[in-house]
Amino acid sequence: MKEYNLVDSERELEHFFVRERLKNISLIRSRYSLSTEDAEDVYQESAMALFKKIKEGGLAELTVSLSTYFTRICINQSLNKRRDSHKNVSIDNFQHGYDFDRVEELIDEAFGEDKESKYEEIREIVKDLPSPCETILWSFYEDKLSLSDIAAILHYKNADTAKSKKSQCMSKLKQRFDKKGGSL
Amino acid sequence: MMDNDFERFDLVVERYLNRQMSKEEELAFKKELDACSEELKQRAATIALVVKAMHEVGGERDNEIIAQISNMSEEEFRKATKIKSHRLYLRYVKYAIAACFIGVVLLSGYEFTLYNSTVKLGKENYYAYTFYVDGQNRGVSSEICDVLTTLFANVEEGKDLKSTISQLEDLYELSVDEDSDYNEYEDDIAWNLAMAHLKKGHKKRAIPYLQDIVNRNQQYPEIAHVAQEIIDKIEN
Repeated sequence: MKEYNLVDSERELEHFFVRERLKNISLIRSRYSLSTEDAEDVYQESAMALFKKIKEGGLAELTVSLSTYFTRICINQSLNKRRDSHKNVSIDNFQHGYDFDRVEELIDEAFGEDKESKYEEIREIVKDLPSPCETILWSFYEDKLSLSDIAAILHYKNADTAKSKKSQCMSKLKQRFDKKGGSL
Repeated sequence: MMDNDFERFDLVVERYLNRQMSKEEELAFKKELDACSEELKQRAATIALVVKAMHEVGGERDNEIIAQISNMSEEEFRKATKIKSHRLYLRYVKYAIAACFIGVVLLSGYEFTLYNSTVKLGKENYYAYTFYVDGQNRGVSSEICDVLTTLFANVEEGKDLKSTISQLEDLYELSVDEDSDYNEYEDDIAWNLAMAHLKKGHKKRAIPYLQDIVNRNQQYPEIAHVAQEIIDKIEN
C-alpha cells in the first residue's frame, strides 16, 4: 500500500479535481437530467467559480468540506443552466451537521484513556481506504452526500445497494481497525 | 431490538450523531446501546471515530488545496485541473461522440454473432450490481485498482474473456485470504467472474461465484439478493 502524503499537495490537488469531476458530472446528469456536454460545462464553470472564490479569500472559514462546498456550487450552476436559479441552495451558510459532542461521547465511552491511540489508528485507515469504499465512506460521512447520490455516482442500482455497500465497507474498515489492535 | 443487521444499525448511529432523532428516539437508542452486544458497541464507537477522523483529515487536506490554489494564476489553475478552453472542448466532444458511434456499431455487429440466451444473461445483468474501481483514491492501492479496472472493463466489453477469466481466477484465490490486498475486492472479482462465464456461454461455471457472494453477504440483503436472483434465472 502506498503512503498517503499530505505534503504532496500537487498530486493531491490533481486527485481532488479528478474525483470531483467524476463525482459531480455523474451527480449533475442524474439529478438534473443534463446532457454530458452541459454537465461538463457546469463542472468547468464551477471549478472556475471555486478558483475565483479562493482567490478573493472567500473560503477562509469553511464550515463544510471543500468537496461539499464545490458540489453545492455545481448544483447552483446546474440550476442556472436549467433556468431554475430561484431554487439555488445556500453555499456560504451551510453547517456540517454532526454533533461532535456526541461523537466524542461515543468514543470516550468505548475507548477511555486509549482514545488518542485508537484515533491515530483510524486516521491512518481513513487516509488509505481502497476504492470504492473510499468514495462511498468519504462521500457519505464527510461530504454528506445522500445514498441516492452515491448510487448515482457509482452507477449502483439504487440507494439500497449503496446502503449495503456502505455497511459492508464499514465492516471491512473495522476488520482492519481490529487487526491494528483497535478492538476493546 | 438491536441485532446484527449492520445496515440498520449504522443508520441508527448516524441519525444519532446527526441529531436527527426525537428526544424519545434518543432515549431508546441509548438504552438499546447499553443492552446491545459488544460487537455493536464497538461498531458504534468505530463509526464515531471515522466521523471525527474524516472531518479532521479532510480539513487538513482542504487547507492544503486552498493554500495551493491561492498561489496559482488562472492559467496554472486551468492546467493543473485540466480545464480546457470551451471551443477545444466542444471539438473534443464531437470527435468523442463520432468515435463512440463507430465503436458501438462495430461492437454491436460483433456481439450480435455471439448472441445466445446465456450470453444475454451476462450482458443484461452486468450492471445489476456494478462494481466500481475508480483508481483515484484519497491515498492508496492504485496498482490494484489499475489491474482490476482493466480486467473488469474486459468483462464489461466481452473482450479477451479467456485470459481475463484466468487472471481473475488467480486474483480470486488471492482475495479470499483476509490478509491479501485483494480481499477488499472479493465480491467484485466474484461478480465479474460470474458475468465473464455467462458472457462466454458457460452458465454452470457462473453459479459458484454467485453463491459465494450470497453466502458472504447474508447481512447485506441487497447484495445477496441480486446474486441470488441471477442464480435463480440460471437454474430456471
